[in-house]
Amino acid sequence: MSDAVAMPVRHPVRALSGAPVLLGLLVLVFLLHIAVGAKPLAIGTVVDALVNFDAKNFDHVIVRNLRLPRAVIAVVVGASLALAGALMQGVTRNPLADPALLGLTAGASFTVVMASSLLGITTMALIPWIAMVGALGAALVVYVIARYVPGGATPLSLTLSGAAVSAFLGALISIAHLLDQDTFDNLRVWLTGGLAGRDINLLWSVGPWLAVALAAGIALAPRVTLLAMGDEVAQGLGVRTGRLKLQLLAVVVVLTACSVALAGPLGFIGLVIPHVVRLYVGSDYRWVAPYAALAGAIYLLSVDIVARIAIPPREISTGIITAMIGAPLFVHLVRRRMR
Amino acid sequence: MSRRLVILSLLLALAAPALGQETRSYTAANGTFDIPVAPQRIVALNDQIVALPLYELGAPVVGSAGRTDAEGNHFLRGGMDTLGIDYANTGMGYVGGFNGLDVEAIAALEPDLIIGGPYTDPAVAEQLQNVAPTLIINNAELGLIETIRALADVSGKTGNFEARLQRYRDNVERTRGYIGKPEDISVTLTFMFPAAEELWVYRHGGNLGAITQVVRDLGFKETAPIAALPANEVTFSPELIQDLDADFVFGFYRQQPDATPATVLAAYETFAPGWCLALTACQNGQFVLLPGPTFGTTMAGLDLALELVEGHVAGRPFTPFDEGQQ
Amino acid sequence: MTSELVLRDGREWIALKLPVRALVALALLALALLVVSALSLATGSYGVALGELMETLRGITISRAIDNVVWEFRFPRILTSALVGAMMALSGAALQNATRNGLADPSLVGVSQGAALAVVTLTVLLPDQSGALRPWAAFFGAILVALAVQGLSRTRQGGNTIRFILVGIGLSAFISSITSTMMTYGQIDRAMAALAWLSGSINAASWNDVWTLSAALAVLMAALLGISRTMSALRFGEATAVGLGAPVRLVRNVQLLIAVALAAIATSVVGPLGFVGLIAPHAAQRLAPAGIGLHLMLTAMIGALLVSAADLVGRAAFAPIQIPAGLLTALIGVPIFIALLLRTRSAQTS
Repeated sequence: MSDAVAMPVRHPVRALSGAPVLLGLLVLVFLLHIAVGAKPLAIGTVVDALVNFDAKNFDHVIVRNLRLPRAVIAVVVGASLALAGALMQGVTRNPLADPALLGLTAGASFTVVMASSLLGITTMALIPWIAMVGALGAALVVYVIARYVPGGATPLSLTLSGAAVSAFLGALISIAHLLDQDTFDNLRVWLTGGLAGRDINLLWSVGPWLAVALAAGIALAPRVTLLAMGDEVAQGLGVRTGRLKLQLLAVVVVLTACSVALAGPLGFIGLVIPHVVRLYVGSDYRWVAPYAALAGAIYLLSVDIVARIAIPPREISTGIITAMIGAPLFVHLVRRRMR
Repeated sequence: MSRRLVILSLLLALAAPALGQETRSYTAANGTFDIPVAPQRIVALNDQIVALPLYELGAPVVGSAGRTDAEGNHFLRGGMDTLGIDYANTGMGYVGGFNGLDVEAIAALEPDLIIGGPYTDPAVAEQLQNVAPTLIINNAELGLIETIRALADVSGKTGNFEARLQRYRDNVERTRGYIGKPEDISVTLTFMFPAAEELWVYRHGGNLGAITQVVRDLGFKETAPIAALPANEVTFSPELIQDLDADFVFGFYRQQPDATPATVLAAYETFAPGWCLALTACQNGQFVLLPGPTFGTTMAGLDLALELVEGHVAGRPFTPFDEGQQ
Repeated sequence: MTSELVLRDGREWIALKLPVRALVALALLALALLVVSALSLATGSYGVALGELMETLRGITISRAIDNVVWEFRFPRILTSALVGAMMALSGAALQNATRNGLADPSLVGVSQGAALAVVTLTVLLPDQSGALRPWAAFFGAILVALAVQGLSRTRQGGNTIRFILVGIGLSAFISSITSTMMTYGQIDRAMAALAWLSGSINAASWNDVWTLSAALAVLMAALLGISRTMSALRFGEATAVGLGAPVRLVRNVQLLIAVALAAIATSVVGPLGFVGLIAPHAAQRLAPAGIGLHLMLTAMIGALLVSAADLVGRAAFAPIQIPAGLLTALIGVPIFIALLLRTRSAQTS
C-alpha cells in the first residue's frame, strides 16, 4: 500500500498529457450539465440564454439562473472535496483519508446543527465560519487520537479514529434532533447533502476563500510528495514539515467547511477521486492535486446530471447518488489496491 | 342450554356497568377490540392527526404525543393555530414524540382508549394493548373525512361529527353554487418549506389534509401535467415549474414557526429564481398562500379551507388560465 | 495469572480452568448488572413507590396500572436490554475471533446496515406484514450483507484485516444510501414507523421478545462455548490452529454464522445498536484475562451492563422524551473505544 503513495511518476509526458484531456472533459460535462435537465431545451435556446439573456424568457432563466449556478457550485464543491481528500491522503500518508471518513464533514455538520439548534443562528453568511470551526475541531481530535495510538497515525488508526468521532457526533446530532424537532425540519434536506435550492449568494461569499484555498493547495502539492515519503526524508530535503502541515490543515479545513456550507455533507468524492487519478499519474502530488480537483469537479457534475434527469419531474438528492455510485467504486478500489 | 345463555348474558349485562364501563366490539386497522362505549380517558399517539380532531369533537383527551421546541417546551403541532389549544390550557399530558412514545407516561394517565395510526410503531401499539385497547386508525388510507368519522365513532361523538359534517356539506354546495362551474377551474397544490430545498406537489387525490378534501369536494380539475404525475405527492424539479400553472396555484405558510408568508415566498424564489414570471397564475395574483390549519386534519381546518377558497375563487374576478397556450 | 483452579475430567475437551480474578470480575459485573436492573425497575415516568414496587414484586396487585408498568413494561425491557447487550457483545467477540481482527463489530462490517435495509424495505413496501416478518427480514438482510463483505474482502492469500474493515465501511455506506432513498422517497407514515426502530430503541420490548432472545442466546451461546476450544487455538493464529489439528475453515465459518445470527436476532428486536460488540470483548480482555469460555461470559456480562445502563439513562435523562439506547451506546461506547484504541498494540494493524 505504501508503494502507491511513494511511487514516483514514471511517465511525466503521460502525466502532462492528462491536463488537456481532463480540461476538455470538464468543459464538455459542464456544457452537458447546462444543456440537459428535467425540461428539454433546444441547444439554440441554451446558447441564446448564455449570450443573449432575456430575463422574461423562463427557458433562459432555467439555463442562466438554475443550471449555471448549480453547475458552478458542483464544480467548486467537487474540486474542493477531491483536492482536500488528495492533500489529506498525502499528508497523513493514508490512502484512505477523506474529509468524511476522517470526521471533518461530521464536525462541520455538527457545529452547523448545534449553532442553529442551540443559538438559533440560521444566517446563511455565518454558516461557512461555523462549519470551519467544526471541521477544524474534528480534524484535530481525530489526528490527536490517531497520533497517540501505539504505532502512530497509521491508515487504520486514522480511519478508525475518524469513524469513531463521526459516529459520536452523529449520535449527538440525532439526540439534538429528538430534543428540538422544529430546527431539524429546516435541516432535514441539508443533512442529506445536495445541490438543489442552494443559495447562490453563499457562493459569492465563500467563493474567494475557496479560490485561495484551491490555489494554495495546488501550490503546496509538490512539497506534499516529499512529505508523503516520510517526515525525516522531507526534512532532509529542506522541508519545514511542521509549518507545511499547518498550512495544509488550514487549506483542507477551508475547502471542506466551505463545501459543507454550500452543499451539505457530501461523502466519498474526496476519497475516491484521488485514487482514480493516482491510477493514471502515479503519486507525484504535483499532478495528483490539480488532476484530483479537475476530476472531482467532473464527477460531481456528472452525478448531479443524473440526479436532475433520472426520474422527472422529481429530483433525487445529489448526496444519495454520490454515495450510491461512490461506495461501490470505493470497494472496488480497496479490492484492487490492497492485496 | 339457551336459557343458561340468556341468564349468563343478563348477568353480564348487569355486571358490566358495575365493572366500570360498557364495552362494544370495534374493528380497526390492527384488529378487533372491546372498547368502551363512552370512553372517559383517551390518549392520542399523534397530536395533529388524532388529538386535535378528537378534542374538537368534544372527546375527553387526557394525553397526547407532541413536539418539542428549541427551548425544550412541548407543544401540540397545529394546536394553538387551529383550535387555540395546547398542553397548558387543556390539561393534556405529554407522552413523548409520536415516534418516541413513553409507554409509562401513557400508563400513568390510566387511559381507557388509546388511538394511533400508521406512523405508530406496531410493537409499541402491541405493548400498549396491556394498558387499554389501542386502535390503529389508518388516516392515510381512510382520507380526512373517514378518519374523523372513525375518531368520532370510537369516542362516542358521532352526533357532533355528523352535525358539523352536514354543515360542511351544505357549505360546499353553497360554494359550488357561487363558483358556477368548478369542473372548468384548474387548481394546483404546492408545498414549500423555508429551507427552500424541496418543492412538493400534491395531486387532488393526495393527502394534504383539509385542503385536498375541499378541492376534491368542490370538484376542481387538475391540469394535464399534474394529472400525469407518477404519484399523489412528488418532489418537483424547479425547471418544470411552468407545469404547475393553473387557474389557481396554492401554497402554504405557518407549517412551522419561521414559515411566514415572507419566508415561504422567499423560498420559492431561492428554489426557482424567476418562478413568478413563469407562472401566469402568479402574474395574475392567483398564486395564493393559505395558512397552516387549511392543510390540517380538523373540521375547523375544512371550514377554513373552504371559506378561503370560496373567497379567492368566487369572491372576485380572475383571469382564466388557458392550458393550451403555454 | 497467579492462582488458578483447574478442574478437568479424564478427557481433555471439557477441561475447565477457573482463574480467580476473572471469576471475581464476573461476580462484580453481575452485581453491577443487578444494581442497574434494580434502578431501572424503580425508575420511570410512572411513579411507583419503593414499597409498592416490593409488594408488586411479591405478587400482590396494588393496581392494574402498577402491575402493567412493572410486569409488562419494566421487566421485559430490563431483560431485553441485558439479553440484547449480551448477544451483541458475543457477536462482536465471535466476529473478532473469526476474522482475527480486534476491531470488527456488527455495525462496522455491515450486519446492522443489512438488517436495517431489510426492515425499512419491509416496512415501506409491506407495512401490514411488517410486525411478523421483521425478525426474518432483519436476519436475512444481515446474513446477505455479512456474506457480501466476507466475499468481497477475501483474497487468494486469505483474509486481510484492513481490507475487511474498509470493504465493510464501503458496503455499509452503499447500503445506507439505499436505506435513505427508501426513507426519503417511500410513503412518509411508513418511513416514520421504521424510524423508531432504526435508532435502536428498546422502547417496545415485550415478553415475547424476551422468550425469543433467551432461546436464541441459550442455543447460540452453547454453540459458541462448544467450539471455544478451537476458538482459543484460533486466537494464536491460523498456523497454530492448523498445527493443533483444528478444522480452521469450518470453525471459522460456524463462528461467523453464529456471530451474524446473534447480531441479526438482537437487531431484529431493538434495531441497530452500535459499538457494544466492538468494545465488550476488549473490555473483558483488559478487565481480566481468562480462558475463552470465561472470556465469553465476561464479554456477555459487559455487553448486558452497557446496554442496560444506556437504556436506563436514555429513558430517564430527558423523560418523557425517550432517547433510544442505540444513540447512547454510541455516546458511551465511542470514548471507551478510543481509550481502547490508544492502548491497542499495533500488532493487528499491519
